[in-house]
Amino acid sequence: MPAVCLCFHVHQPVRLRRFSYFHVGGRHEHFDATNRDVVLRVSEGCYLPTNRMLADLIERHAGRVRVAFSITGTAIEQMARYAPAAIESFRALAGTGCVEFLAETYYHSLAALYDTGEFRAQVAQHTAHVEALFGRRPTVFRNTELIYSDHIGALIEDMGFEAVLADRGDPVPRADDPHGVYLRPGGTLRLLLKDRRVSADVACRFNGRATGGPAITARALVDRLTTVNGGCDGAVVNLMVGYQTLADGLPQAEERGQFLAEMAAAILAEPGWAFETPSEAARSHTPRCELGFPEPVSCAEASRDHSAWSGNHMQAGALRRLYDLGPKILECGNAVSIDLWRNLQSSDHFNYMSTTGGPDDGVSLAPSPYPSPYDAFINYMNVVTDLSTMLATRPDLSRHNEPSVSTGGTVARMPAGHVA
Amino acid sequence: MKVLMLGWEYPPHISGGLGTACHGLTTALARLGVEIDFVVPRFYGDEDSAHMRLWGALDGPAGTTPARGVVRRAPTDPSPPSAGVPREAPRPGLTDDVARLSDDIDADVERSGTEPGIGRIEVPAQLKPYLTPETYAQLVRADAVRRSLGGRPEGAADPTVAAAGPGEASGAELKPSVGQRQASTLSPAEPSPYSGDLFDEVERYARNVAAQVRDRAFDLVHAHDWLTWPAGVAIARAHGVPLLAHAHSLEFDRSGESADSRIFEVEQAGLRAADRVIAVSYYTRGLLHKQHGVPLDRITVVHNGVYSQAEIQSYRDKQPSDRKTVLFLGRVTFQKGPEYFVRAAAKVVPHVRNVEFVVAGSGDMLPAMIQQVAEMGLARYFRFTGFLKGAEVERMFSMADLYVMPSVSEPFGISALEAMSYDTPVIISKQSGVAEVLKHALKADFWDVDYLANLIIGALLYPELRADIVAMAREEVRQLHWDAAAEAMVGAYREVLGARGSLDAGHTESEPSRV
Repeated sequence: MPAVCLCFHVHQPVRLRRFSYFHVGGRHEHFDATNRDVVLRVSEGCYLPTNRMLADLIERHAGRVRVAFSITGTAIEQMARYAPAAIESFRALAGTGCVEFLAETYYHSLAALYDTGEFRAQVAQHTAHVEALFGRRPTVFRNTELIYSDHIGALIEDMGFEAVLADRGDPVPRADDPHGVYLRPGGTLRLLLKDRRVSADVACRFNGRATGGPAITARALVDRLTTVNGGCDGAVVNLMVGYQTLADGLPQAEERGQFLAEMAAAILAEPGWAFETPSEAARSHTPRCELGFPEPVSCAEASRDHSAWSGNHMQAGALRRLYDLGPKILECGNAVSIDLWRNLQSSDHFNYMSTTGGPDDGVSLAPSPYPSPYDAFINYMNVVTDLSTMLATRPDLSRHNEPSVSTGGTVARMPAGHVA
Repeated sequence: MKVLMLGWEYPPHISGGLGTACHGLTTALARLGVEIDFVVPRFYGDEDSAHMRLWGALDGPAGTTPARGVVRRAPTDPSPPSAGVPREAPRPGLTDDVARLSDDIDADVERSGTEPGIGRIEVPAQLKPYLTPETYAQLVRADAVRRSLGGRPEGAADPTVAAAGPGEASGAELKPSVGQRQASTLSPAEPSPYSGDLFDEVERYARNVAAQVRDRAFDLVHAHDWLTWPAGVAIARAHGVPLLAHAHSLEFDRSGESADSRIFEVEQAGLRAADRVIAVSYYTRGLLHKQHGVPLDRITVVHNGVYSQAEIQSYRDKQPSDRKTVLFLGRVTFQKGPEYFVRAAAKVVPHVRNVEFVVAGSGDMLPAMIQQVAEMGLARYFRFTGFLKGAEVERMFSMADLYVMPSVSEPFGISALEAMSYDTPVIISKQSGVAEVLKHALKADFWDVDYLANLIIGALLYPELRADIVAMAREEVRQLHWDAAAEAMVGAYREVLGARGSLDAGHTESEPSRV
């Protein structure tokens, strides 16, 4: 039975405030006060109304409409703080039994590429959080920016996940087709591959992302699904779409709801077609074959690797300095420092430093809050410098601040960025 | 197409960006087949002007010694003689002064007949860009004092010193006692009768050029900045050809609210008389509209360009030490915001080891800046080089780790492009025209000293920034060629000539519908 697997991604980074070098060492706040406004606006303009329409749709079709959400920990945390009604709204969707919640890295980080231990910790943190909130332990994993490799597959299979979402720019075996369930080489992990083209069409209608062509109708979209993508038995079309809108003034909640309703009705009207959640798809389709990802692949349109987040000198340097701090941060054990360090791992910060216009991934919908990648980099490095200065000069932050335990001895007393 | 261009300076005898812009623009225009007669107040003979005919108002086109590149025209585009075009009636809106000057010049030209006015009125070479009436008077006084003492004008043999203008000493480091030395280098090139008034000089320039071009044919007059606009207005009127007034810098930019009302009026008259106004940025276009009431549809924006890497002999002159050099290069005047540079430096010094701030340039705020640096206890972090030229400028751009242009009001800011072409990262003020075209530059409000200092520290302490911004800027600069500026300019030329054609040549058969 051919199936459509519709996965929505919800993310809000904790944005940094304008942190001047003159704030370094001054016990200043690191996060921006506008985070509250952004989360409130997105909740009221998008999450709440769209969730409501989704719930209606599920009810109208008696449970035949099934979708999945991956909501990052930073988004959940900020909704809980600023817009608790949105959390309740997602919980209500969970209660329908037709909505699956996926695992992520809690901080929408690139830890899978830089720090395996940290990656495991963030996935575990997110999994526990989602289970507590929505009542079911996630069994399918979606990595930040869909970055996936055989190495990452082995890690998450080891953590007990049964399937993973991935993106595959290169031609896949079996007729250049992402519409199957594949298997990690030498393992049992199922791979669900994003249909880039149809995902982009849906994103265009759903949240106003321009694709260059005219907006596609729900009917034409379904025709494309069922004919071009060969509605053969056993096919699964994985649509992976950002949930929030690009900006105010673009397709309003009603338009989004109407498009979803039309699309759902058209798909369900096709003989044999059905919606499945990722875990259902992974179980109900026999894997076609093994599919290897020797190098990490992401959803970035241009390069397909992770260079959109780590490809220039600023990004690479910022990532290196951040992850170099890891052992000392974790050793100090101070919750505030660890929380800051982990929030600094969100891929958005590196996205803002991109000098090539940023990744076009269908996910990073929010425009950069900085006037240029260089301002973004300097701001970020000032915060990193403050964090390392805190470690070096304020042993009072450490929970092991007995004289016998040295937390600052190996760290320079000067700000980390200071030219030696 | 043949263009008469009126300018105030030309490389290597420059005191600001205007001469550089004129060189870049005319070179690219010549490549497009535009014939250019270019008049500056004084011709030195070492100008790089093979692409056009360049002469000094003092010398005249016929009197020039055959220095390299004086006469070499492209044989293309045989333009119809324009001298016979019916003269347009005086237009309303000119201020009385310029109208009177215009009439006088008409009369001069009538009287002088075929005799060119060369030598009849000598134009002293004191007509320097960016003069204010006060500094001009100062210049005249200094020379009068020197001559009353019976001494030869020092530095008269060195035209570069003369071109540096008042207070723009060249050469070695300036000490706080610089005032004395500056006075001694104020050097009008040759003894000549002065009236001691800048506005008289503007008028003399206008009269001389008008007489010199009496029998020359050209399709339009293109005048660069206010000092040449009275000449442009008079000549365009006398020859019945269109006038383009090119605004590189306005009195408002140079002096802010304390603008000289007389200069403002000369600007106003030139702008009103011009068939088309060229602005070097949208920033300047806005000012022209706001300050002078020029309708926006009469202003064409032509951004300045930059020379390609191939044209600039880029060389690295990095110091082997780990010293970090932050450069201010430009006139040390209100407009360029040197005080914000000094105030930002004071905030940077405690945080960056081995940093050095270089102020390259001169101007009326230099003594005050030197004093401020001394009072703030920053003397050992500062170096004042005085006015630099040619190879010294190249060396300075090459060795700088960062170029800062904190201008209060900058119509364009071509030096930022120059710095970038030497692979030096730049911080530019948002109050500059060049900020409109650059993506790969750091930008700050000139008054936001904290943010400026923050950017300086970031650019110096986090080396990855330099690697990325230089690579991206190199690509960006490559796309900002003078050729693009020249093409836009030719478009403006065609437009005014077309508009004039509909007025003056309504009988043309090819355009029967236009009257």
